[in-house]
Amino acid sequence: MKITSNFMTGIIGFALSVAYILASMSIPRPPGLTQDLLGSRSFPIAVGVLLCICSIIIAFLPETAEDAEEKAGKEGYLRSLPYVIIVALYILILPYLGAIIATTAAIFAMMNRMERNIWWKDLLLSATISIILWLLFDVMLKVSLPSGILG
Amino acid sequence: MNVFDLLMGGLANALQPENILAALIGCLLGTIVGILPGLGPSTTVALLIPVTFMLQADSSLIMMLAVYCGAMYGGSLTSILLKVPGEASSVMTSIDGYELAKQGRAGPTLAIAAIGSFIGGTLSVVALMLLAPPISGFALKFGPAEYVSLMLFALIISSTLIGNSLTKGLFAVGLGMGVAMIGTDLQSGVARLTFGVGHLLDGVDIIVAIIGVFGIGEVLHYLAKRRREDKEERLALKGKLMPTKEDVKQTAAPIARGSVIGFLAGVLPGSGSTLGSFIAYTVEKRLSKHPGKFGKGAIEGVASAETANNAATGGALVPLMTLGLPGSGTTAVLLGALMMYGVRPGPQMMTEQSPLMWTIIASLYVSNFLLLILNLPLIRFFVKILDVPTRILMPLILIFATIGAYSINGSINDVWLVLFFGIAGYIMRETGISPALFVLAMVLGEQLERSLRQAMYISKGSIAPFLTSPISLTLIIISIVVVFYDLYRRHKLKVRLIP
Repeated sequence: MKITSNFMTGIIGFALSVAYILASMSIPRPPGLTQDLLGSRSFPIAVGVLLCICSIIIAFLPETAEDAEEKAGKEGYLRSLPYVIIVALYILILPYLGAIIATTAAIFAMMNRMERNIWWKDLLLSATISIILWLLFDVMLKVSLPSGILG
Repeated sequence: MNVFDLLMGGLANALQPENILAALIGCLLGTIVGILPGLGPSTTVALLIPVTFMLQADSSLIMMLAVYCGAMYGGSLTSILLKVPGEASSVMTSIDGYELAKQGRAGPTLAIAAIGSFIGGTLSVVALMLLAPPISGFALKFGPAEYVSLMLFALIISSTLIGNSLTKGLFAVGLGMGVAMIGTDLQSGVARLTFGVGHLLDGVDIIVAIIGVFGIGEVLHYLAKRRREDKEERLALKGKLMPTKEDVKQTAAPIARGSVIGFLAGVLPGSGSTLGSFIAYTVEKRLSKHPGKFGKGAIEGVASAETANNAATGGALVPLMTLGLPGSGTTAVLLGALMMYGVRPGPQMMTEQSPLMWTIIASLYVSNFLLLILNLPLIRFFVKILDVPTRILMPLILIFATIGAYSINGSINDVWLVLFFGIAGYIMRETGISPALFVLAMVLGEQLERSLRQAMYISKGSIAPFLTSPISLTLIIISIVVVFYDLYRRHKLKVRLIP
C-alpha cells in the first residue's frame, strides 16, 4: 500500500483525536444535583469522536490533483523551517534584548536567509524597519514593548 | 423609526471627522496589505486588527470594515498585474485581467475593477440595509435549539463549499471546536484541556489564533512554495488609466448582474465571494455575443467577477450582522474582532446596539466611496508597492504579526501561541485542511456548546425540540440533503487520482 500524505494526516489526526478524547474524559463530571445534563465533558468528547472518525476516513482518501496543487511538499517544510526557528529565537530573546535590537536581528536574519545582499545595507534596513515598528506599536498604539537592555 | 431615519443617524456618526479618518486609514491599509502577493483579505484583516486598537470602539470597527473593503480591492491589482490572486475569489479576475494587462490595457482594467467594486460594494450595502431588519426580527424567534441547528447548518454547508473534501472540512471544524473548548468552562467553572498551563485558563485568544493561522501560516506557506513557482513578473502600467466610453458601455450590464449575483452568493455560508465571482463570470460568458473573447482579454469578464467579488462582502455581512453567523474565513475574522470589542452580532444587535449597527452600515457606504476616490488617482502608487522586494516584505509581515499578537494582551505566552498557530496554519494548508473552516468553527464553538447545553436543559435531556421546531427541522433536513448531494456529486465527478 502506497503511503500517501492523506494517510499520514489521518494517522497523526487519529493519534491527536484519541489523546483529545482521553484528555476530555479526565474533565471532572458535574455535581450530581446540577441541571446541566451535558456537563463540561460531553461536548469535547463529541468533538474528539468527530475528529477520530474524520481522521480514519482521511487516512484512506485518495490523493487528488487539487490536493497536490496546494502543496509545497517536503522541500517546502525544509524551506520554511529556518523562518520558524528565527521567529522562535526572536521570541526567546525579545524580553532580554528588547524589541528594537531583537526585531533588527530577526529581520536581518530572515532577509539574509531569503537572499544574500550587502550586509551593512541589510542591517541598516532592518534597523530602520525595527524602529518604525517600535514607533507604530510603542509610541502610536501605546503598547509597551519589551525594552530589554535598552530599558 | 424607519430604515431611512436609522441610516441618517448612522451616517451622522460615520461622518464624524475621527470616523472618516478611521475609514480612510482602513481603506488605505487594507488596499496596501491586500496588494501584497499571496495575502488574501482574511490575512489582511487578521494582520491589521492590532492597528485598530488605538481607536474608540466604533472607530475601530469602522476601520476594520474599511480594511475588509480595501483588502477585497487590493487583491485585484495582483490578479491583474501579476496573475497572482490573493485568494480563490480573485481567480476569475486574473483570467482576463492579466490578458488585458499584457495587451497594454492595465490602466483601464484596474479602473473598471475599481468602479465595479464600488458599485457592487455599494449596492450590496443597500441590500444589507433593507434585509437586516426583517431577518433580525425573524431571528428573534430563535431559541437555543434553533441556534444549534443554524450553526450546524452553517458549518456543514461551509464544509461542503470550502476546500476539496467534505471529510477534511469536517476535520477542520472539529479542530476549531476542539481549540474553542480549551479554558475555563463558563457554566461550571471547571478548567478544561489546559494541561496545567495557567495562561490557557482564559482559553485561547481568538485573535491570537487568527493572526497565527492566517498571518504567519500564510506567509510560511508562501515562503515554502516560492521557489517552486515561476518568477513573478509584474506587467507595466502604461498609457491611459481611464476607461473608454466603449469600455463603460460594455461593462455596465455585467456590473449590474455581478452586483446581484455576488450579493446572493455572499449571503450563503461558505465561499460566497468565490462562488459569486465564478457564477458572474460564467453568466457573462454565456450571455456574450463573443464568448471566444473570454480568457483572452474580455473586460466584461473582469467587471463581472470583480463586481461580484465585492458585492459578496455586503452579502456576507447579512448572516453575520443578523444571526451572528460568519459565512467565510474573513467574516469569521471580523466576528472575532467584533467580539473582542464586546460586540456580539446577532438579532439583539439590531435592537440593543442599534446606533452602532447603523453606524457600521453607514460606514460601509463611506468606505466604498473613499475607496473609489482613492483608488483611481492612487493606482500608480499602489502598483509601486508590488516592486518592494519579497525579501523585505515577508520578514516584515512575520515580525508584524508576532508583535501584533504581543500587543493584544502584552503577553509573551500569546506570542508563542501565535507561532504555534502559524505552524498549524501552514500544516493545514499543506494537508488540504481549510484554515478558514478552522477559524469559523473556533469562533462558533463556544456559542454552539452553550446553546446545546441550554437546549438540553430546557428540554430536560430530550432531543425533541430539534425535531419539532419547524425552523430547526428545516435546517437539519437541508443540511442532510446537502451532505448527500455533495457525496453524490463527488462520486460522479470521480476523483482525479495522481498517477
